[in-house]
Amino acid sequence: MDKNRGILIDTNLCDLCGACVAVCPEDAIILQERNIEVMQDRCTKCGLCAAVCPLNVPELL
Amino acid sequence: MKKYTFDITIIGAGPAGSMAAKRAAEKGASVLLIEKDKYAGIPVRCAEGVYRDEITRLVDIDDSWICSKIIFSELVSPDGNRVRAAEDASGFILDRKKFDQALAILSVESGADLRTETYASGMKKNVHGEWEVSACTRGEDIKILTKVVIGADGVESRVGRWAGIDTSLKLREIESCCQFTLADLNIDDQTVQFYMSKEFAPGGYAWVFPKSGGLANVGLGILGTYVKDVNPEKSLKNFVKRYFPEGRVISQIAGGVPVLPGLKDMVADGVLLAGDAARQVDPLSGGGITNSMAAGIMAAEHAVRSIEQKDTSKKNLTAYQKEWDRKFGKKMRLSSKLKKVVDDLDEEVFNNLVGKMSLLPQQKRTPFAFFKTLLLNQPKLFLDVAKFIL
Ligand SMILES: Cc1cc2nc3c(=O)[nH]c(=O)nc-3n(C[C@H](O)[C@H](O)[C@H](O)COP(=O)(O)OP(=O)(O)OC[C@H]3O[C@@H](n4cnc5c(N)ncnc54)[C@H](O)[C@@H]3O)c2cc1C
Ligand code: SF4
Ligand code: SF4
Repeated sequence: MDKNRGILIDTNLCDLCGACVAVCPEDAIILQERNIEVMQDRCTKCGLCAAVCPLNVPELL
Repeated sequence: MKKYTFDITIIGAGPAGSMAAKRAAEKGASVLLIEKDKYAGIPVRCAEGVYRDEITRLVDIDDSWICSKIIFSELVSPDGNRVRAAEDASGFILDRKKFDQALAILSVESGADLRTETYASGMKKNVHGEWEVSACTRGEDIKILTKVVIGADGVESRVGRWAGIDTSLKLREIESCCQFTLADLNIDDQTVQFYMSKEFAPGGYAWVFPKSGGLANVGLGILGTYVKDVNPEKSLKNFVKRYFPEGRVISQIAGGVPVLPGLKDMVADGVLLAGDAARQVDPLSGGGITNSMAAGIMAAEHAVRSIEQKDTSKKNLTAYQKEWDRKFGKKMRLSSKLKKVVDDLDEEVFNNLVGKMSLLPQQKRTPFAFFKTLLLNQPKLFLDVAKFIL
């Protein structure tokens, strides 16, 4: 599992508001009509998405 | 894979995108407006307040788009004192579901093609220097060949990044927001309320925007740098418990609001950004509806002009950024400066200020008077801000 360590955004908890997408320096988050996904290969685990989220959804694994 | 060709492709059917599509179509361009959601304007991520003067300049307002008409604004200090401002705050609380859809329909009536449930996933330039936008429409992958792309894709914008513009925000450049729509409130439908409080909304404020019939948008924004200390959702729950215990939550949204004086680059070859995508929200108020509409119109005009001139280069499109800067730049920079002043204010100073304001006759309690009182008491701030006003 080690190489899958990264950021987890649970679509069920997320409101799809896009604040995390706005701060992500790596353009690593895809936000669609009904789901959100982190491209783990781009993510540097900087934690900014977690730091801005109004609902505290993104989790560093 | 199906391919489509349009002069201008606009990504995002919010106020910026719909106004851009309307204007570009009116000017005779072939226009495609795409929106990832099923309906433009849903879900609503907004407190829905606009100044009457600003909105009526941009569109003929239909009464059915308005939830309530605002005459007064009330400022509430950290210690809970209230001061009612002069009656120059007249505005509307919109019904953005209806409003956004109406704007999208206006663009269609002007000749634009609107495709909802269509998500743009990327774009690249072909050998002829045109953009090829990849999108997925109702499960089907398509390509759109286009001379100009207008990125009106909101705070979550990626269009700029695809064109090589770094639109990513620092934590100090974004408000992290949470809002409830509350029912059963006992409030005045003609008054918007602003609460300044480091406890509930550090680096931001809380708002109450009445939608008539005891309904209101009640929310708060916290500057990104403080979210680790104060979580917006929890803080809003506490705020509501303190000030509106009778309120019944009927819906909840999260949101991000850019609060910077503007992007360094809003254009690239064949690309213009407008609205939240270009970070054109007023930093002090967080209001972005009318700015986005104005920017959408402006971007469309420059897009059409560049196509007519057969020169869609960044250099030629820079005139859009210049026009924006000429018309809005100074206000944006001043607003950003004043925001910093307000954010850094001691709660004590704020309490005093609200006290002083309430001594003035109501007609004199304008935002200008507020800042004047503040600046006269803080000479250093005065010098700081003066260079933006003078
Ligand atoms: C909590 C909160 C309260 C606010 N209150 C106010 C207020 O009272 N008054 C005010 O003036 N402003 C307010 N604002 C700001 C205002 O909502 C925005 O400035 C305004 O909506 C910006 O318009 P826009 O057209 O740029 O973007 P949006 O309205 O965000 O529209 C962007 C559209 O693009 C679509 N989109 C995004 N990516 C893609 C893609 N890849 N493919 C296809 N479609 C895509 C989205 O689905 C969306 O419909 C508030 C914001 C928040 C978060
Ligand atoms: S941790 Fe950083 S790089 Fe990774 S998704 Fe979040 S903001 Fe982007
Ligand atoms: S900031 Fe939070 S709620 Fe908003 S889209 Fe990102 S994870 Fe979801």
